[in-house]
Amino acid sequence: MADQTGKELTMRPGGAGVLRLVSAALAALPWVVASLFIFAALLAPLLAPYNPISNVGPPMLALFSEGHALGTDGFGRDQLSRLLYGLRPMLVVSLGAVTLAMLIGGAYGLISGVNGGRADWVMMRLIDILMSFPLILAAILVLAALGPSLLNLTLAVAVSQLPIFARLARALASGEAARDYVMAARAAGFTPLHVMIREVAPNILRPLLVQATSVVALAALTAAALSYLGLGLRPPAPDLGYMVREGQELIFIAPEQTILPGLLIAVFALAVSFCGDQLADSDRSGGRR
Amino acid sequence: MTGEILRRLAFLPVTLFAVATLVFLTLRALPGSTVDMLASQFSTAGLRDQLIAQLGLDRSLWEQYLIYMSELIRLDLGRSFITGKDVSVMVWETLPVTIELAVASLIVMLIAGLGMALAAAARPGSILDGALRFIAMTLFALPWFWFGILLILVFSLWLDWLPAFGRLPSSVTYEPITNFVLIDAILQGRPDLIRPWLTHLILPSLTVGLTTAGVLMRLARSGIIETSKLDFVRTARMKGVPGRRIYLRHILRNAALGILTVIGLQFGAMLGGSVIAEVVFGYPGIGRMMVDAVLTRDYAVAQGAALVLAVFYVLVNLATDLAYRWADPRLRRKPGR
Repeated sequence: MADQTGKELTMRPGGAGVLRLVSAALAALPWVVASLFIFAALLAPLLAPYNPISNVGPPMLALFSEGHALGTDGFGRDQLSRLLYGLRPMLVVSLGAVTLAMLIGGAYGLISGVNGGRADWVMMRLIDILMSFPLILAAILVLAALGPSLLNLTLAVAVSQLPIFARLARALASGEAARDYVMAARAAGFTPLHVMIREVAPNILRPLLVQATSVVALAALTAAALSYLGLGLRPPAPDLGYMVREGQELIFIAPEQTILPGLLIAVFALAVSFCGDQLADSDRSGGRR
Repeated sequence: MTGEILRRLAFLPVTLFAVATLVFLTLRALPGSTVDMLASQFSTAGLRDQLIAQLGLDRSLWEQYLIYMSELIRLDLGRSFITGKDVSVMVWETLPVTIELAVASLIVMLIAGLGMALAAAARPGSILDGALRFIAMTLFALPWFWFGILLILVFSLWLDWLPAFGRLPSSVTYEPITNFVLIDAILQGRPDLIRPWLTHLILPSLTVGLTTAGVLMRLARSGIIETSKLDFVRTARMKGVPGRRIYLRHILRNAALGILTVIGLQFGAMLGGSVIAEVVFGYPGIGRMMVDAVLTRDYAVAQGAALVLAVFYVLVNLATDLAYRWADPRLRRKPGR
């Protein structure tokens, strides 16, 4: 994931003013796109011209039909409205799952790393075992056990990402635990809980947040894949992954029905990947700004 | 070195045991367990109870676990709740299909990922490097299933070059021996099998291989660039070794080890990707079998498939790890860590 040379391109000193302006605009682009997705999802009830789950027109209207800019699906539901509402589960699941994985995995790694010793060894072997399942497989198993729903989808994606955060937090925390300020806090008689939460945790938070940004895309893609497999929201609820699935059946007559929802997932994943990359780059170059 | 290998091998049964336990617990002990699922499917209580007794689901969890484990030791994965078919037979039929797909995807991933990394790392900061990094990022951000559908759209529907569905056309008669088409084609003297098999394999393996190539490219590229900053490269340059030779013999050889680890890690993503690709392309592998089983709540099949996939993944990771240790002379000399 290291991208040290990205800097050379954008930060060339004395480059022409226009070039710097362009590169600044390019750097801002992923953040703008990601924000647009969030606003569109939040404002879906205002922006969507129709109810996304009711039949509001003749089925299979083409793109740019009157009153239905993106046409209608096989049930006569407005595609534009469904796409807008479909952003919501993608954002809720990806952001929710990453937050959950960061909090639980982070706390787990913190406990393991600060305390060290036998408990640390056992806790990390448990993570190893969780990691012996390919990511998607772990998520599928969780959904198989819990049944499909928005909450369970979030949990499943969170479980699949938990080991990443647990390992990172553990490595960071055990590094911090050996430093003087932690020893001082211990010697001063603070409880282990206090040392963990008030002393170590604030110092490992930033790398964890950077890591979180860089896995949002992976979470969105995993959630979309699970929805595509039919393990996400129950239809008729609009969900981009499942819309790709439904559209696939109409691929001969209306390929846009499968292309558009997938395109939204891809653009969102690409935008947040670039955001995560920028954060990781600035973090590596020591930028505690 | 031998000690380390033995230690890793000794830990293998522990891992496998834990994986089996985890699969058992997720599918039997969590709320919404098999019994509840079955109960919702059968209207008459008598039939339901009979089935539950037959499957041993009326016993305590602990008893079920012991039975499950003792069956596993005898390599008995149970029977499908729905078709009554032996799960180990179903695994035997579908796992080779997935291995074929995984190997083909691996080849695609290596060619695309390493090719892009080599080209990009030769001149870091160049326009080519920037473009390739953008492509790699895009490949990573493509939803696997959607990319597969786009390939179907372009190469099957519009260009009509490649088939979009299945593993072999129904017009071909295939009597499997090993279930690996290539091996069977040789064993049975059936060269006519190879062409339809390959044409069906291309789109699914491109789907998995290209979407996983992005991450490989990024990691391999930064590995190569980092290696090129090391002192021995400067020494070689001062000795007057030609640039191309430095790149191939000095930098790449040393970066290769790190790349090997990445490939091992990417294998998990590849297995996950093949589960999706099998569904998109109606490819009869073990991943699709598992997803179908989950959707129809056929837990014995889902359990068996998940277990086999996880074991496969653990073994591949172990093999990469050992290969890494074997290939690195520094690790070969020092036993342990």
